[in-house]
Amino acid sequence: MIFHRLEISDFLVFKGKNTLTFPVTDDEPSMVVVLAPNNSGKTTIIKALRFLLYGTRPPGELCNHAAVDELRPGDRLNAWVGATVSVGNRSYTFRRRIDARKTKDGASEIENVILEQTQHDRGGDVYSPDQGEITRLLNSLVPEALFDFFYFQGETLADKLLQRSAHSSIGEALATLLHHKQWIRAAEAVDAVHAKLAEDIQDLSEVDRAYADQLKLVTQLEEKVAQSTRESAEFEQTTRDAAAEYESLGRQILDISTGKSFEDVAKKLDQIRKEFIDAGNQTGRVETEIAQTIGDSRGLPFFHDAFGAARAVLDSMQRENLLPADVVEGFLQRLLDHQRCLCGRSLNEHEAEARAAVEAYRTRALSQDVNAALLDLLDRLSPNVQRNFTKFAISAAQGLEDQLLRRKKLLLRSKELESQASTLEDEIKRSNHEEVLRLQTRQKEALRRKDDFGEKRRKTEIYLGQQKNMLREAKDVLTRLGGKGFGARFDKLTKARIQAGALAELIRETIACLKDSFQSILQQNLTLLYDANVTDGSKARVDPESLLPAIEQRGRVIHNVGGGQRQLLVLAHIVSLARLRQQLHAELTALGINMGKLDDQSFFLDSVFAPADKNYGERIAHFLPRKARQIVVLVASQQWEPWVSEPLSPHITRAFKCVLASENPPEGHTMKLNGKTIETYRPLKRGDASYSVLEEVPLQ
Amino acid sequence: MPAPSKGPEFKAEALRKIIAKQPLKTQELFAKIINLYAGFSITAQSEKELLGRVRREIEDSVK
Repeated sequence: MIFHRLEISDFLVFKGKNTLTFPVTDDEPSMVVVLAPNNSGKTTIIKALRFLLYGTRPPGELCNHAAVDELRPGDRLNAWVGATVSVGNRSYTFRRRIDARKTKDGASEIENVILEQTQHDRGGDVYSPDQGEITRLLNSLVPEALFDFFYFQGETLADKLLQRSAHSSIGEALATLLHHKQWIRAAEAVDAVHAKLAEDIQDLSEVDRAYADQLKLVTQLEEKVAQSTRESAEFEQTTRDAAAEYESLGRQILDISTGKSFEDVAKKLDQIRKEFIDAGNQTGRVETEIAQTIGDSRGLPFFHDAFGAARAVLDSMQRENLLPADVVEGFLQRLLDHQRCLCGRSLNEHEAEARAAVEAYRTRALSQDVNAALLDLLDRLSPNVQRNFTKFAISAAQGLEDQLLRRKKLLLRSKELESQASTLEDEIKRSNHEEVLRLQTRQKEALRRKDDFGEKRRKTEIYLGQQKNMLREAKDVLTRLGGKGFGARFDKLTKARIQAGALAELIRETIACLKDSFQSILQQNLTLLYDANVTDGSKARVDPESLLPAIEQRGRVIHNVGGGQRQLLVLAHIVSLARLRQQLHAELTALGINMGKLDDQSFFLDSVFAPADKNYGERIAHFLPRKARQIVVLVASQQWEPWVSEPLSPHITRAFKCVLASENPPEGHTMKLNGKTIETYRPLKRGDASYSVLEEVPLQ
Repeated sequence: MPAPSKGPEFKAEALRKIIAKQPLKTQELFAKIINLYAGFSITAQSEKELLGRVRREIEDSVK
């Protein structure tokens, strides 16, 4: 905060409107000197500042006695302290006004003290009661705890610092400067938002769960609807099939009742019967052929292998009484009567043995031993006869064998046809009534199926309708719950919560860093400003806890140091504080934080040379210039020694003097500035109340 | 005159590093929130209004 103007009107020792105007440029630091004899208002300026900034009333009457004296009892007096300051690029004009009234006993009675502000001062200031903005601004710009550091009375502050009585205030004041509490509030606000976001996410999750449950319900209903639709279709098909079967069975029953159903069977049976008769006829013909063959062969178709088969056939034929009587008898008779062999050779009359054998054969044939007798007969034939006979017999046997095979096949075919005919006859024999009953049973079953599945389908359709309604309602609820928007909302809140968590941590880290930076930045500057300017090799140390300065020599804190050295320490410390503000301001500005209030700070230094000897007075005078953008040095005439004035004078940008009006001139009421004599006394007639006024001193 | 030493206690550098590590949007959000509470141009706002603003800024920063 830089002062452009300070007005003190009828306040304490100052009578009338007294104005200090300060040259302010962007680039060059300024140094304003207020020269004053003792008790002329130097310290009053500091008191006026404290009153202006915080409303702190100094003890005693606030209103200027001389001004009050000029009023009549009951008259009103407006006393005030006002200022125009700049903070960053903004300018503020404000004043603290005292509404007072002169009482009968001549004193001033204060009725009201008001802080007033004005935004514009074109063509005269228009003030209105402060709405809080100026109060907040002042409290944040210059916390009262830091007042003594910026607008200080030399010895008082030195004592405070070295006796650690400022311990509790400075850290807090710096924290106030940085709006530490507001930073904490910011962190807490972010925490609160973080918690609220977590809560909202939880709520959303609850709603989301409801959404998920509803979605599950919709899915289940959709599955049920699909299942019921499938079942309904199946039931419909089954019903249709059963109906078709019912109708088919009905037609079958009708066919049976009209005999239509057995026409094919009867036709088939007729066919089989015909085939059976044919087979029997064929068999008969084959057997005739066999008999013919045997007859034609005169009973001798049998030889060796053929004989066995023939004999078996003959046996079988004989058992079945199929063998014609002449097969045996005729054969033998022909053999004997013709007197000729089967092979055509005439029988020799001499072959009585042969005839005897034939007789024996006949005998044995009659006794069923035909073949053995035949063989026996053959054995008795001559070799030629035997050969011819054998040749004839083989041919006859082969023909007979074919006939026997044909007969066998025909017999088998007859048997098969007989079986088929028997089956068909059974089928035909079965009662039509039973078939009708059987078909009716099946028809009944089909009807039952048709009805059952028809009913099932009907019920399923009803259930399906209900499920579809429920599904529609469930989908409506799902839509009301938000649908796809939830995912995005959830995602957004989650990201915001993570961001809030990170931000809160970042703010806290920053707060810790800033606080830790206080000590390190102060120490750097104090080392720079103090250590290089003392002559005893002592070093300045900043206590990390209290942030107060101490002087160390050979590693030990020393308390008994000279006034000038102490004053240098105080100045170095307050300049360090100013630089701390500037550095923090730069750091925070770089981070995008507009901490305009931490910008340049003006210093009002009262009695800064008071405790200093020539050595340190001169050092301080050399030290001060350009250490801050605005320094106002209040110097008593006793301290305005050449070793002070000479180093300072080249840097003074504007000068004022406190002119004391009193009966008697104060000590040292004339001073020299740039070779010119400055008079700071104005005589008053006896009895008049003394007062002071501020006047600018031309530098040239 | 000896130059001031920047020892490990110079926390401003640490602070710069901490901030620089953050995504740009977080840095901007950080500045906005601090300005809202502790900045130069603070205006009187109710706690509820401030919280609402903080939440909006945070949500906007993650859009």
